[in-house]
Amino acid sequence: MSDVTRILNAIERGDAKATDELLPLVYEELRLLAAQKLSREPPGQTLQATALVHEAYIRLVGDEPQSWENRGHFFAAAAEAMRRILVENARRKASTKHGSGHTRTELDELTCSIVGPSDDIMALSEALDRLSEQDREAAEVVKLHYFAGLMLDQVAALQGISRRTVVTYLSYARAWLRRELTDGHR
Amino acid sequence: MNTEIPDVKAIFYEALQRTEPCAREAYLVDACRGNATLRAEVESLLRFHDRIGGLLPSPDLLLEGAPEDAHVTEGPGTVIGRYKLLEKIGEGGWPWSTWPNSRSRSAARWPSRSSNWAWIPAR
Repeated sequence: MSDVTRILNAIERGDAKATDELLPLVYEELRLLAAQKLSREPPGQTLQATALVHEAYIRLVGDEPQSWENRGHFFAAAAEAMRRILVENARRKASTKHGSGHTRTELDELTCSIVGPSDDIMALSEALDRLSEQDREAAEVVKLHYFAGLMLDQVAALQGISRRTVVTYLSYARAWLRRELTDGHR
Repeated sequence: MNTEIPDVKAIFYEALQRTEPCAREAYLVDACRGNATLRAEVESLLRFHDRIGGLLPSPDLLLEGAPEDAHVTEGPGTVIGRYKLLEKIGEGGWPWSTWPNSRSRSAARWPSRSSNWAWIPAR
């Protein structure tokens, strides 16, 4: 049994500490996978969050059948990890913007090419935190769909809600986030 | 600002489905039942919905009745990492059960969205 499967089972049994152990493992795996893949690709190559997250699932969990709850915990952690990776890359990009324009070679830099939401990812991420304070369910659906790249049906199954409810939450969240990101609002 | 409004998500979404101004207005009057705060919040969100632009890829493509594939950008010939997609061989389910984790060149299921693909190494 893999470490992650063990942690997922512990979470399912109600071990609150186990939740804290999951995110760093998933985060590290995703970061390494992205760096590894991009180091083998020509510059300008992009990675899909969906493919990365699913590969991480196979590597960390394997192909043993898992309960919905376990899958849910994994993908929630993966969505959060992807968000952090995208935000960190955006920060790094911003801090090197005024540099000499040298070719970047560090593996970490290469993960800039992960395909993510195109808007200002840092502002979006902060707005998402504010949405989460008001409406945790809507924010969670956004994370699973946009950051972990899950299909609407998969999000619905993991959250135990209908597909229509997922679409409702996403439509609402997008308008809410756009308002939040608009200058002069509030 | 009080945003703890009951059903604001559902009312917003239902209003969104009514593109005809009169129908939308009639729905809002009926759904908000004189709750001015709720009405203002929904209308504010509706205004911002129109300005979403490139914020996040639109899930509107996936509203009821639209084909799921409207959201899928991969097709035959698409190169993803080291793999090239050949043809779609199935759909639905949790497609990672046969992720190609070995160097096998045999057809495997590609865990892209809900579609499964036959693939070959790109190079």
